[in-house]
Amino acid sequence: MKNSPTISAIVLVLGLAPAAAVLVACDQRPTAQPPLAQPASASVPASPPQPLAVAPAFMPPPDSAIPDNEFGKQVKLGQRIFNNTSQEAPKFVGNTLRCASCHLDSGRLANSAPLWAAYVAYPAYRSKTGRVSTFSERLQGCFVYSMNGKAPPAGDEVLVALESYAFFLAKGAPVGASLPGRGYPAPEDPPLAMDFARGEIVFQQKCALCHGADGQGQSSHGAVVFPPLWGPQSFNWGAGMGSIKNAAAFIQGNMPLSQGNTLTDQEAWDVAMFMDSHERPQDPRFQGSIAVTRQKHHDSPEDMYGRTVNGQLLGKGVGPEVKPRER
Amino acid sequence: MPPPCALPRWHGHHPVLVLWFLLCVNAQTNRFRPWLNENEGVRTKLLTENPKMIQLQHRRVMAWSQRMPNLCLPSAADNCTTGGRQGGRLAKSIRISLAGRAAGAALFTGLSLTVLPALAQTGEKIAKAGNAAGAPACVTCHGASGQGQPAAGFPRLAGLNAAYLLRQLQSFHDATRVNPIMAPVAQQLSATDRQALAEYYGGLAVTNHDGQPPADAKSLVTGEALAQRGDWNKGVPACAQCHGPQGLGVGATFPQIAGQSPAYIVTQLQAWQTGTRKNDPMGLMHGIALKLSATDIGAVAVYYGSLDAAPSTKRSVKP
Repeated sequence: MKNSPTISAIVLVLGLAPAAAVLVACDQRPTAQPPLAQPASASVPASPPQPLAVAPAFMPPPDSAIPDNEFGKQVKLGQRIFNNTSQEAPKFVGNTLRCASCHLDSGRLANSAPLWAAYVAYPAYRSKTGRVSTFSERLQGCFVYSMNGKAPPAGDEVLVALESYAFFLAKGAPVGASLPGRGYPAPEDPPLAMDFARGEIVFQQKCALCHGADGQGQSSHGAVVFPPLWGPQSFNWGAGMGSIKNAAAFIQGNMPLSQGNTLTDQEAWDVAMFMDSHERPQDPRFQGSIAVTRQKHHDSPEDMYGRTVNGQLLGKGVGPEVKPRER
Repeated sequence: MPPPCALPRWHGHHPVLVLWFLLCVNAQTNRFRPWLNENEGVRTKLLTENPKMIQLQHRRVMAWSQRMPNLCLPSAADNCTTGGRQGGRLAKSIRISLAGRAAGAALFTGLSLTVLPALAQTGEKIAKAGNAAGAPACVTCHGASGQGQPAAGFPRLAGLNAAYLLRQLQSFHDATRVNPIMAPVAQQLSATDRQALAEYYGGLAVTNHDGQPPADAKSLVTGEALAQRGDWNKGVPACAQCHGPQGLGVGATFPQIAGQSPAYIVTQLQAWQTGTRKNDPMGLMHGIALKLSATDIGAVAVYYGSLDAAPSTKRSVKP
C-alpha cells in the first residue's frame, strides 16, 4: 500500500471523506517515477575560473569584416556549416556533432584548435595519411572521422565554404607559421598512470551534468545542445579525439564549459581515458580485424582501440542506427 | 457485533467499511497512475484551453476561499496578510468544518481525476488559493496561468521543468536562494506542497504574454551576440550553449529563459554575482555572472525577454 492509511483514517474520523479528497490529500509520488533530478553538486560555488592568461598572438577579424560579395557569401555559408554541421551538410555527416563542438567560438578560440592557425599550417605531411595533405583534404578527414560521415568530394561547395571561412579568419596570419594557440596545448604527463575508475568519478562530478550520466549528451526541443561523448552519435574510432592526449588537452583547456583550466593534469588524463574507453562507431579504416587495425592505426599508449577495459574489448564499433540523411 | 467505539458513521456506513472502500479506490488510482502521467499533456490541454473548466474551478476555489480567513487570493490581496497564522484556533475550527465542503468540491473535481494527476491538482489548489499554513496564492504574483508579470519582475513559472521548479522552492526554503518575498512563502509550504506546485506549474502550457516591455534595438544586438556567440575574450560561452539555441532550456538543470521577464533575468544575474543566489550546480552561473558587465546583463535580459516563449513546433526532448 503506497498511501498512508493513517491519513485516510484521519480524514475518515472527521466524517467528511469523499474518496476524491483522500486521493488528493494523501497522494504520494509513485515509486515507479524517476526521482526528481538533483544537481551534481549543490555545494558552495567555486571561485570563478579564469581563462588562461595567454595573449593570443593572432586575432581573427570580426564577423562584421565579412565582405558583402560572392566571397562573403561563401564565408557565411562556411560559418553556418561549421556551427550547424548536420543541418547544413547532411550528406556528409553521420552523427550529431558540430565542427564547433570541439573548435569553440565558431573556430576562433585559441588553444581550441582554431581554424586560423590550421589554415596557415597546410599543406603539410601527416603521419595519419602518410602523405602531404592540403587544407581541403584535412577538412575531408574531419568528415570521415570526427563527423563519422563521408568526405565531400574535392571542390564540393561544403569544402569551398569551409575553406573560405578559414581563409577569412586567417587574414593577416603568416603563412607556414606555427601560431601560438594552434591545436590543443599538450597537457603535462599525469603524475599517476591513467585510471578508468578515477576518470569515472571526475566524469560524474564535472561532466555528467551536461553530457548526461550516460555520456549521450542532451537536447533542447530537438536541437543537440550537449554533444554525445561516445556511442553511435559521437565521433568514430579514427577521430583525433580518440587520442587520450588530444582529449585531455581539449578537456583541460575548455571543460567544464566556462571553467576551463580548473581540472588538474591527473583529472584531465583520467577523464579523457574514461571517455575514450567507451564504444563508438568503427574506424573507417577497419578491414576485419581489431588487432590488425590497432597495430596499423592505433599503436599508441594513448589509444584505447583494441584494448580491453573492464573485460570489454574496445573497437567492435557501434553504428548509428539511422544513416545520415541523403540530400 | 457492536461497533468498536462510538466512531461517527459516514452516511450510515461503518468506519472500517468506509476505510476499506477508500483504500480500494486509492489502489485503483495508483494502478492507473502510469496512464495518468502519460496523459499529462491531455489534462494540461483540458485545463488550460477549456475556458469553462478554468471558470468553474476558479469559481469553486473562490467560493471556498471566501470562507477561509487566512487565504489570499488576487482579488483579496490587499486585505490579507501572508502570515496567515493569526487566525488561530477559530480559523482552525472553521477550516475543519469547511474541510467537508472542500472535500465535497474535491469529489466534484474527482470527475476530472481521470485526466488530472492528483499531485498537480493539489498544486493547482495551492497556486490558486494558498494553503492552510498561510502560504499566499502563487497566482497573486505569478499570474493566473503562471505567465508571470514581466514588468514587475515576477517570473514565468508555467512550463518550466518541474524538477527545476522544485529545486528552486527547496532553495528558497534552505536559503541557498535568498529572496525576501519567496523565503517566507517557502517556509509555509510543506515538502509535498512544494512538489505539488512544481508538478502543477511544470505541467502548465507555456503561453506568450503581452506584458513584455519594449526592447531597444541596441540592447537586442548586444544581447543576441552574447546569447548566441558568447564573449570568449572574457571566457564567457554563449548562453545558448547550455540553455539551448532558442533559450528553451535543457533538462532539469538549465531552465528556459526565452520569453522570461527581463527584469527578473537582471535580478537573477545580479544575485549570481553577489552570491545571494548560490544554488547553481558547480557554481556555473556565479562564474559566468562575475564576467558580465551591467551593460551585458541588461542586454542579454532584453534579448531573452524578446524571444518567443512558446515556439509553435515542440519536438522530442531526447537526443
